[in-house]
Parts: sequence; structure tokens; C-alpha cells
Amino acid sequence: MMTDYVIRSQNAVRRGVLSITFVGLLVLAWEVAARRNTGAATAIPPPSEISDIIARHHGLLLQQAASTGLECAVGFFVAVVCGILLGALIAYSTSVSAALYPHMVVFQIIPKIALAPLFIVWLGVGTQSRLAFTVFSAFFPIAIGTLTGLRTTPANVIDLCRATVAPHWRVFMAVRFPFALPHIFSGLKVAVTMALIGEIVGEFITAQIGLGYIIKFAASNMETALVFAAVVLLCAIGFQHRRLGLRH
Amino acid sequence: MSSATDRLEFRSGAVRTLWFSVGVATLRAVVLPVATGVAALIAWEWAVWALHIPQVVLPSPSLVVHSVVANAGLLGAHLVPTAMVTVVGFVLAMLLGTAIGIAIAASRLARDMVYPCVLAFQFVPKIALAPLFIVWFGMGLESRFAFSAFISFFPIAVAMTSGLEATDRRTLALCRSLNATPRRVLLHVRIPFAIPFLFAGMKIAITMAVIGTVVGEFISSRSGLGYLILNAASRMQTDLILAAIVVLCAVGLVLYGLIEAADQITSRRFRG
Amino acid sequence: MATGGHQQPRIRKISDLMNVVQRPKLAGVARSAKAKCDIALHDVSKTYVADGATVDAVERISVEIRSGEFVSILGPSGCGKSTLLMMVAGLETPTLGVVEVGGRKMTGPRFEIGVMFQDATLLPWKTALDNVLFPFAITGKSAVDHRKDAQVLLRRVGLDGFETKRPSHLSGGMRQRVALCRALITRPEVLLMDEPFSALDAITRDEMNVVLTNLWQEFQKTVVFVTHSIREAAFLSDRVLVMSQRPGRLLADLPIDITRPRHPAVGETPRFNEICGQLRQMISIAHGHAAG
Repeated sequence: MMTDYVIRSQNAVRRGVLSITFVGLLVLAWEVAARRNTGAATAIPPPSEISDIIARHHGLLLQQAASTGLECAVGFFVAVVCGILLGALIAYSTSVSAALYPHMVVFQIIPKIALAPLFIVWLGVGTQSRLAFTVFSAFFPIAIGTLTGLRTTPANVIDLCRATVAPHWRVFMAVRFPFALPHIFSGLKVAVTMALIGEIVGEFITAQIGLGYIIKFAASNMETALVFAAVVLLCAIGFQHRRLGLRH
Repeated sequence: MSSATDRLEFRSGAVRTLWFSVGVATLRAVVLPVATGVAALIAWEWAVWALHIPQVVLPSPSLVVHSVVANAGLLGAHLVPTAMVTVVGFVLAMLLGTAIGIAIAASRLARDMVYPCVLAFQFVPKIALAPLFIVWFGMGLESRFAFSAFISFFPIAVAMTSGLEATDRRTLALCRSLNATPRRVLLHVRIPFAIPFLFAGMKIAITMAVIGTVVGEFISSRSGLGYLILNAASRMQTDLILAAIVVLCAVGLVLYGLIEAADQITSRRFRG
Repeated sequence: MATGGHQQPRIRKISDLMNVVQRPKLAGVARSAKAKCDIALHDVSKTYVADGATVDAVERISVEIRSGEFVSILGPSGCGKSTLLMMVAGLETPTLGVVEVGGRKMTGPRFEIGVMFQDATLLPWKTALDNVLFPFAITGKSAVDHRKDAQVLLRRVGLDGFETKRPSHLSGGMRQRVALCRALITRPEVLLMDEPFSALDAITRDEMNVVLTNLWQEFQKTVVFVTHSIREAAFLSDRVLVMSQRPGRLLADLPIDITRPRHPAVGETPRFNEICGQLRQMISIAHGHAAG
């Protein structure tokens, strides 16, 4: 036990103050440098210009943000439902899990992003293809998390369940599923990020609507301030989704 | 006398049971997934033929294989830039990420100031910054190098830092009692303890590097497997798309496998 | 080393405890000439802040330990005995009072003071021998001259043939033996041990006690040994300091007058059990003392 040694907890406050100061100084330096050197202003626009753009085009930006956020959220939730269901189904049988688990791990490692154009071939350039690709991106971490969680219930718990004569589904709901929740949640965390990535890449290549499209479009016109504005909104969406996903 | 033969029979029976259970375990772990994969491919082939699915929508596995062989030259030519960008970006990320991780661990000030920023950056969907790198670095290979390095930097930096922080506090107390200098402790104790963490970060980083490369090629390139896939999609050459995807997945798996192999080799030494 | 044989007074109340503490020092020890490995604590207190609350870990402890003595600090969990040891080691500084080792005030850790913790804290990638030589590796000193010593030590603790094994191939008891060798390789004048055998099973623990006492018999260092096991304290030490519950105060200072060298059979003798009984009484008074 380290409780006998001095625990320096005043550092948390110090850390917070220091990092905020650091960030504040960075932002200030960024603003000053960008204003001084107009050449660099196109490369990294000053924060004031970014907020200016957000204010001026907030209607357009919010509209695109809504599209991105909605597609991403819907895709994520569909992935959650499908992922948990399929994961649970596979976990039911030892043989089936043994057969499919390596494949799922492989699917997790390969760059699924490369399949995005395939979805366009299949579903055209529109919401369906983007949605389907988002679901596809977010599905695997959830399914793997559910499968791992359900298959790695501690051995003594399993013995306890065997000792009772409760029916399978009851054991599942009362014991195995709660034990699987930490794994499922870590899968959800990964899936939220993957859903957003899938959505953004989908918007890059369908080039129709959404913040990803805005970013690509603005970049090709060298309007970096607009790019940054869209990125800021994307961060907000990502942050919100993370919080939702974690609270779920 | 009979008890001796009984014992012998019992022992051979036990051995047989042991081999049987080992056989079943191998069956489960290896043969079953492979067989499932093969079965899936056969089902796919049959479905395309039986349901008359047009090759443009879903080519059969045999057609994909044929496409890989027929376009081997083309695929090889585009494989090179993709693999190169991925590897170079990853190596850059390794160098920078480990350096920053060590710097953060060595200096309290650096840690308090910089690390929260690195952590906060995880909320930024870095993929979205790909077009920005094109604005900054142009359409050439440099922007893809930079983006691939950028996107794989963070898992490594975070892994290195948390690995260096995770040294057992009793071990650190021991080092303090010996009046060891912080530099020595960092080099001889904290860095070796951090290596398993670093490998976990490297595995994430290599997958991110591949993704970053492909996305970079989607939006800006005239070469590379990502470009090839997008180009083939625009011409509805689905068999070429799948062929390129197969090659790309092979690249991803090989790179990941290399890191996993290195992890296995070193972990026996450093995890103890 | 104490060799007297007179009966200890029975402890019935706190004032009896006070009498025990105030016993005159053993005759024949020159107080003016402080030997190199004396440990002296003068009115030492330690207070720290944890999670917003002020904790009085140690309160006004004064004690003197002579060179070559084996002293145990016995007390319930959380009574501050580890904190006390860390102050002697120089890893903590007292809030009040002075800690002196070898006649000099402790201002920080010293290479010449050996420390051993509850967890062996061996480096998993080093062999047993390299782990023993770790103090030299980590301070940049040459280990070449000490290799032989390390091998001798490992042989002494019964690990002959295990020099090239990694910690993952060693049991808990073996790892603690390696840690013991590591603490001794620097030829410290003072050895501080913080419940080193608490994490081991009872049988291994008894083995380790025998190993330690045999080793100590040979090297005769000053040892301060923190434990919450009464039998362990009684078996190993010349003197047992009993601490109260937090805030840790020195309640008793009991000399153990069992002859040395001590063999495991000592644990069966009536004298040993009587001493354990006395210690047990003191501990229960310590518990009651905190509540009352």
C-alpha cells in the first residue's frame, strides 16, 4: 500500500492551470503571427478569422453539420443494435465463436476505409451509401466487444451459474451480459470514432453534402478559414457523440 | 500382476484422452475458422452463379483472383507508393512520438503543459484534416507522408507517455533509495517497462497509417491503391476494385503482422 | 545482544507499559562514542495531506538503535510504521524532529542504506544475478568487482544455480531472496526492511525468517524490520518496538532475551511463547488505547 507515502494531489490544480495557460499563450501567438504575416494567414488562419467565418456562414455550416451529425448518429445506433445482437448470437455457441472470431479480428485490422468506393458502386452517391458505410465502419468494434465480453465471463461465475438451475436466458440477462458490459463499452468507444471517420470519408468521396464535403470543397479553393471552421464544428459533433456514447 | 497391466492401460488411455483433447483444441482454434472462410468463399461463388448476380455488382471470388493476376503489374505499380507512404509515415510517427513521450516523461513542466493538449487532440477527427494537408503541402507525396505521420503520431505518443508513467512505484522508490539520477532511471528502468505499452500503441498506429494513406490517396492522388480503387469505382470496374482491396488488405495485414511478431519476440523478455 | 534471563513484569495497565518504556538502557554501552551505524530519532513526527484531509502518521517518536542491533517495529496496519521506516531511509522527511543515521542528519536517501520492500520489485528482463547487481547498474558504478559477491550471496540464500533465471521463473519466496541479496550487495551498514515477507505464504515466510536470521548472524548489520507478525518480530529481533494505531506513537520497547543463534525450534519454547504473549497484550492495549 502506498498510502503511507505522501500523496501530492495539489498537482491536479497546478496541471490544469499550466495547460490552460499554455493553450492560451499558443492561441495568442497564433493570432499575432497570423496577423503579422499575411502569407501564412492562408495556411493557418488566425482564430479571429475562423470565428468570423463561423459567424458569417453559420446557417450553411449548421445545415451541413446537421447532415453529418444525423447520418453519423443514425449509423452509429444501427451499428450498436446490429453489433450487440450479432455478437450475442455468435457468443451463444462456442464453435461458432471459435469459427468467426478470427475473421472479425482480421476485419478489424484491415483498412475498411478502402471499401468506401464499393458502397458507392452498390448504393449510389447519396445518403444510403454514406449511412451504410458508417454502419459498416462502426459495426465491428461493437460486435467484437460484445463477443469478447460474453465469452470471457470469469470462470468462477460460470461455475456459479451452472450450479443454479435457472434457464439460459435468465442467466444471460442477470449475469453474463452485465459482466460483458465493460468490453461492450470499450467497443462502443472505438465505434463512435470509427463511425465519424466513416461518415467523413464517405462525404469526401460522395462530395455532396456534409462537413466533410465542405472541408474538401473549401480546401480545393484554398479557403483555409472555412476548412478550420468546418473542422471546429466536426470536433463539436465528435465530442458530443463521445459523451452520448459513453453515457449510453 | 493384473494391477500393473491395469495401470498401463489406464496410463495409455489417459494419454489418448490427452491427445484427443489437444486435437479438439487445435480443431477449434485453427481448422474451424479456416474452414468457415473457405465455406464462405464457396457460398459466395455459388450465389453469384446461382442468383445471376451481375459481375458489375458483385464479382465472384474466382473473377477477383483472375483480376488480381491479370492486373498484377498495375496493382504492383500502385502498391509501391501506398506501402512507401504508410511505412515512411509510420516511421516518422515512431521517431516523433517516442521522442515526445520521453520528453514529457523527463520534464514535469513539459508533461503538465503539453500532455493535456495531446490528450485533447483525440477529440479532433484527424481524418477530416486530410484536405488541409493538401493545402499546406500540395498534391504530391509530401502531403501524404505528412498526413500519414500526423495520424499515426498520437497513438504512439500517448502509449509511450502512459507506458513511462506506469512504472511500478515501489521500483521507483528503490531507485530513489539508491540515489540514482532521474536520467538513469528513465533509461534503465522506465523505458524498458514502457515497451509493452509502446507496442500496443504501434499496432493502433500502423492501422491508422494505412487508413491515412488511403484517405490521402482518395482525395488527392494520381497514384496508389486508394486512387486505383476510386478510379475503378468511377468506371464501375468492380472486379478491379475488389482486386485492389485484396492487395491493400494484404499490405495492412502484413504490416500489422510484422509489429505483432516483434511484440511477441520482445514481450517475453520485457514482460517477464 | 541481550542475554539476560530475568522475568518481564506483567503488563496490566498503561502505566505498566510506561514503566517498560522507561527502563534504563542496558549497562555497558558507551553513550558518548556514537558508532558509525547508530540510528537515532529525536521527537520525530510526520503529518501529511491526503485527499484533502490532514493525516498524523507518526507522533513524537524518539528511539535509539545501536550498531549491530536487529530491531523490529511491530504494530497494526496503517499505524505509520512504514512511514517511520521511510523517514529512516531518507525517502520521507519528518515534519518535526530529526532523524540521524551514523551520527549525521538524514537529508535524503543514501546509497549505503539498504532498503527492502514488500514487493521484490525485480526487473523482469534481468537475470537474478543482474538484479542483485542492479544498484550498481542504476548508479553507473562498475559491477565487475561485485559479481563474485553477488554469486556468494545468492548461494548463501540457497539460490545456487538460479543466477541466470529470470524473475518469471522464480517463486515469490525466491524473488524476495534475490531482493535480499540486492539489498546486501552494497554492503550497507544499515538494512531497512518494510514487511518484506508479508506477501508470502506462511510456510515460505518461516523459511525466509530462517534465511534472514542466518544471514544476519554472519553479517551483523543494523536492521530495522517492520512487520505486523508477532512471531516474526519475536523470532528475528533483539528488540521489538511496539507502535500504537494512528497517530503512531511508541508504546513499548521490549528486549528479546532469547539466546542467539536462533533456530526454528525456538518457536516452540515456553519463553518464546511468553514473549509473544506479552507482545500480544501490548498490541491489544495499543488497539484499546486508540479507542479509549
